[in-house]
Amino acid sequence: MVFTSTVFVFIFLPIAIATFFMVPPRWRAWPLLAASAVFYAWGEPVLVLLILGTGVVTYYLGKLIVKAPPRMRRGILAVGITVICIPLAVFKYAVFLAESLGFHGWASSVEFPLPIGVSFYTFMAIGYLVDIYRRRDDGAPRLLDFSGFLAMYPHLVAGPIVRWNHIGPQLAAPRFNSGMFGYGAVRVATGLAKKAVVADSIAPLADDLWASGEPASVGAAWAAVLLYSAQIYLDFSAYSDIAIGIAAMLGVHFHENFRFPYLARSAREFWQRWHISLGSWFRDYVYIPLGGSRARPIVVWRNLLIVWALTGLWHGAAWTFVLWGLYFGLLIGLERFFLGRFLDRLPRALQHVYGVLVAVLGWVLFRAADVGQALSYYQTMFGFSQAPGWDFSASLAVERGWVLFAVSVALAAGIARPVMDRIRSQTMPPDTWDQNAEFDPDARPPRAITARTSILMTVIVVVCLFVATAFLVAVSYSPFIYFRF
Amino acid sequence: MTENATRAQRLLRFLPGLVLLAFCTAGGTWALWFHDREFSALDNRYLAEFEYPTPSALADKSWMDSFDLYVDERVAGRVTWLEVHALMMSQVLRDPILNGVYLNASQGHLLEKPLRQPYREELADQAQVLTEAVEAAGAEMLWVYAPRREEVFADQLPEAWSNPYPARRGDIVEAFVSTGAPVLDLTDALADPSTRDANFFRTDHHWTVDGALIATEAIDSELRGLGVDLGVDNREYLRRSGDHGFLGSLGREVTLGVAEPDSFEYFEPEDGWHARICGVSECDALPFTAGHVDDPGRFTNRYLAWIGGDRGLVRLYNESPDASGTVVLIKDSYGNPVATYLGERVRNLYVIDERHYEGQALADLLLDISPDAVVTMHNQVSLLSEAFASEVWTQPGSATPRQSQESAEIAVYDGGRVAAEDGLIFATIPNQEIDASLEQSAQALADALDPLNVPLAWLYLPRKTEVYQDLLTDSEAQQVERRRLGVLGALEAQDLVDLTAVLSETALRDQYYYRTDHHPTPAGSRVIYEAIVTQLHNNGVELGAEPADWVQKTADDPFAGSEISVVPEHISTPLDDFQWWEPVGGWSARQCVDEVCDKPLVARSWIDDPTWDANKYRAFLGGGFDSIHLHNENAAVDTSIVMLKDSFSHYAAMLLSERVRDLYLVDERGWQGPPLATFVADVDAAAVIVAHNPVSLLSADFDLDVWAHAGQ
Repeated sequence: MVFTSTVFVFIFLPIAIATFFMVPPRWRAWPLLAASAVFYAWGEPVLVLLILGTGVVTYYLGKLIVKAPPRMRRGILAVGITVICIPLAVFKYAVFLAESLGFHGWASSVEFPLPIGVSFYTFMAIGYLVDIYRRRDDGAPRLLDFSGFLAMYPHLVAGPIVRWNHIGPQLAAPRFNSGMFGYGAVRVATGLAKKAVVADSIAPLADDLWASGEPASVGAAWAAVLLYSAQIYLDFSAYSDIAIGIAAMLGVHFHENFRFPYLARSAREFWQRWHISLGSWFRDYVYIPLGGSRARPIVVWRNLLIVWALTGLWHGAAWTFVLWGLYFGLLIGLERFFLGRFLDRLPRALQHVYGVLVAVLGWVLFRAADVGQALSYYQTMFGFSQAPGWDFSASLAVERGWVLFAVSVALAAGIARPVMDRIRSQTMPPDTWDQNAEFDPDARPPRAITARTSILMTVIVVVCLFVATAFLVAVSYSPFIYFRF
Repeated sequence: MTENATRAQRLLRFLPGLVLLAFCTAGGTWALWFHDREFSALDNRYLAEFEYPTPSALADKSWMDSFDLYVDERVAGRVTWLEVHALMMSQVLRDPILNGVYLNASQGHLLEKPLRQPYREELADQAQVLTEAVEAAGAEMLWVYAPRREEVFADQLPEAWSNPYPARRGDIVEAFVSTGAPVLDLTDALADPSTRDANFFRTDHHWTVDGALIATEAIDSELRGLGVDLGVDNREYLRRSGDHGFLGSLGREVTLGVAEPDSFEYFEPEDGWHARICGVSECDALPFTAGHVDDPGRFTNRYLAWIGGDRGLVRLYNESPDASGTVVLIKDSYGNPVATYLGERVRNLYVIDERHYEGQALADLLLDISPDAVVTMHNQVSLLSEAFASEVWTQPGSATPRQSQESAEIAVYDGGRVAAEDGLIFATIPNQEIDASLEQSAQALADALDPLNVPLAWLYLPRKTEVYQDLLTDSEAQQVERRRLGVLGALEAQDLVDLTAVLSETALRDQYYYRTDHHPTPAGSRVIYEAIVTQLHNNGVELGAEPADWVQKTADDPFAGSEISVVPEHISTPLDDFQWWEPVGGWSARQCVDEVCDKPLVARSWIDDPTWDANKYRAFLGGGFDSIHLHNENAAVDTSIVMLKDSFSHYAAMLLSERVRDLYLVDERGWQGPPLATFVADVDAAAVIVAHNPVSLLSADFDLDVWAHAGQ
């Protein structure tokens, strides 16, 4: 099931929320798990067993690590990670690996379905085991709690990648919190509008341009890349908005997953603002265990390239994704050792231009069908191809997309941030960007809510819901871009 | 005070969430509970209906998909939401293209993105085959190329949209020219910048009456130039327009939120239409249906006014002394208004749409009707579409059609015979006697119903042997004819329509009956259904509208009907395709079992039965001697009909059930209900239809007491 569907908005969501609060807090993991199973089974009726099985296996592996003697813990962790990575390896990477190794016959003869959200829940399960191994956590007290956490429908198909030590305590007995409920509603409504109205309207414009293979002109190439940059940000961040909003309505706090990434002034900062839960996961569970930055430069380079190659590969089983990850690894390394000092001396505006350019050029690799198309785009964007400077497709893209792009830029620049900050400060307990920080749902919001803010929130909800409904009805089905990662 | 303040704070924080939940809950409640099944004129189809989940449908996700669609289409105020979306896209987000339709062309013309259809390289060869068939029939051939709007308004399309139509036009015209027959390209005549706006609708891809008349006159002129003797129509035509706008298919695509409806205009002869469309029994339908123009619906497809829309074969007959000649017009939907006006000058006009045609080979049809001219007129999109049935052009004629007595005697077996080369099977004709009780019982039935003042109509449904009498031996032919005349004689006092002649029409009877089964096909059943509808209309019975769009379904496996048992197992014989039509969006009516009306009309289990001789015909309302109640919750009228029937009428009854609230099918061979008059009164029937084939009527199982004691 996708968030931007009428079934989700009008049937699933009200029923799921109502049944959740009809059960005593101690047992709310039951309706949560049931709703999550339905939510998942709606898209994958058979493979829902895979995620539920992953939950069971991970839970008991965790128990095993907790009880195991110290000398066996590492071995159990290694075996556990291997076991829970098997579905990911088979369903997502087997064919890619076979093709890369030259087994084209076998690769073309098999076709594995890609289970929805498999990359997300596999990483959550790995994080859970590693945290237990590191004795940062004792694991879930009940299988029910862990299954509810792993399969929790708000984050199920496209994250954020949440952690047990943050979510687990909240799920033990989630209580109704009026402030979080109201704030969540605003995030859900604005997320729906952002996704259905803006991101999904940009999508066909970008798709049209990218579908032509090689760009028709320099202008068309830039239009394609800029529109896609807007689309992917709005699409993915809207999903996170809705996920965070639904969780808040259930009384559960998710950390923010985006922080205006196009305001970044470097590649490193971009990844501190983009898909934060993934970046922090790789930092905590791969980069630091490899030695992180506190090592000789050559080791740091090795660590960076490993982490970023894996980050790219996580996004998709294709060389374009690997190159995309390495692109960021290379840039972050360069910034760390050489470029950073130079960038720091640039005017702030130019730093922003650099930050946006880094992200936008990266999306070429991310969106291209293959490396050849990506190279063709780079050549054309910078005038190294035979393509003319401008053509009709570029004109049409500008004619069709200029308003949408302007709206996207405004949203990416944080035009709504003051309003959202004001709402958050009057409804939500204090928050932090630290993925490992605990959250106290009983803490008072920093400021008392005013009637004006409440009315403002309600108006935002009503307007966004109305507009989003018009677009949901018009576009019956619009899968999120991150649906299959 | 503090507690109150806290409570107020909670309420203020909760309010947006409450509003969201209320909005979502209201939307969901509406979608699930307040959802009378309805036809969507905007979509021009029935909306999706709720399907009950089955384990297999859940496992393969098809139920989820169907439920998604169901909720999508049941959202309260769906049309308004779509219009808001259109307005937002065009006016707020300033996107000039909506759902693939360009909004910014001059004069408000909506233009769709030209399709990139592959050219059919064999088109020239196919055209050559058709040309030769036409020449063999002694007729003149005229190829007509009708331009798409995107050819006429090519300069108005966004320059980024590559337009392959002009180049394709050259290829197609060249293919036509290669046949040696004359070619009429209408592009220049219609694309004149000073008149083109009037020649095409702004919101539809069809031409207007002005464009159609330009085409008609050009065709008329060409045909006369070829020496074809067309009639002369010097009457004055009056320009008329409906009171309601016409939102064409492109307009419906972008909705009324951004589209300004067209005015639907037409020219009507001062003394009315002379031509008539030939139906089941006579030629009595007008070629132009003003009802489509006068319908107040916002999204009514008024283009259906022209000869009733696209159908496989429509015959127009004009008995005016000024009309002359026989012309065959092979066309797509552009040809419908042309046919309407051409029909006013031509004595016989056969209008064929390849996409729907299922009649005999065109070469044979041409030999049968000996036309003066054959005109093919297409636009390139329909000509190159996958739906275009080019085999209609190329199917070779049969030198030995079924009606050939010599070649009919293929094989004789104990239980019957294979009577034609293509495997037409006749089971042995039973010897059945007719006695006076038939006449008396029929009269008793009529008398019993008379006090109720309920119209009673009778239909005689011929057996396959009766429509293929020319393939029978003399003694067999005499036997079936004697039986037919006997039944007709017994029912002489009743208001009876004999469908033997209609279903025996040589050009069409192969469509009306299965080769391997004694039942009529859905095509034959449609003839029966139309005869029933005519009877009901004649008796003033109110019926709902027939669904506008139908979709053809085909079983995966061929159909071996009950008569296949005639042929020994080791003998190979061709089987029938099992095809039928369903309203787009599915049937409205349901079968009622124990007063619960949720059983589908079509039982897929029979159709999907992989057994080679599965009796697929039982998919239509089952089999045996069952009496059946069909209920249509969404019928536009409250009419109830009682129909005394055998299994010959099952598919016809399904068609009829789409237009009435309740249809009670009574099979006399198994009727256990109250006396018929009581039953008819109880269900408040508006009419009673009696439709039987002679074999079931005269069988030992047929309980004539049901008629004889109808009033007791």
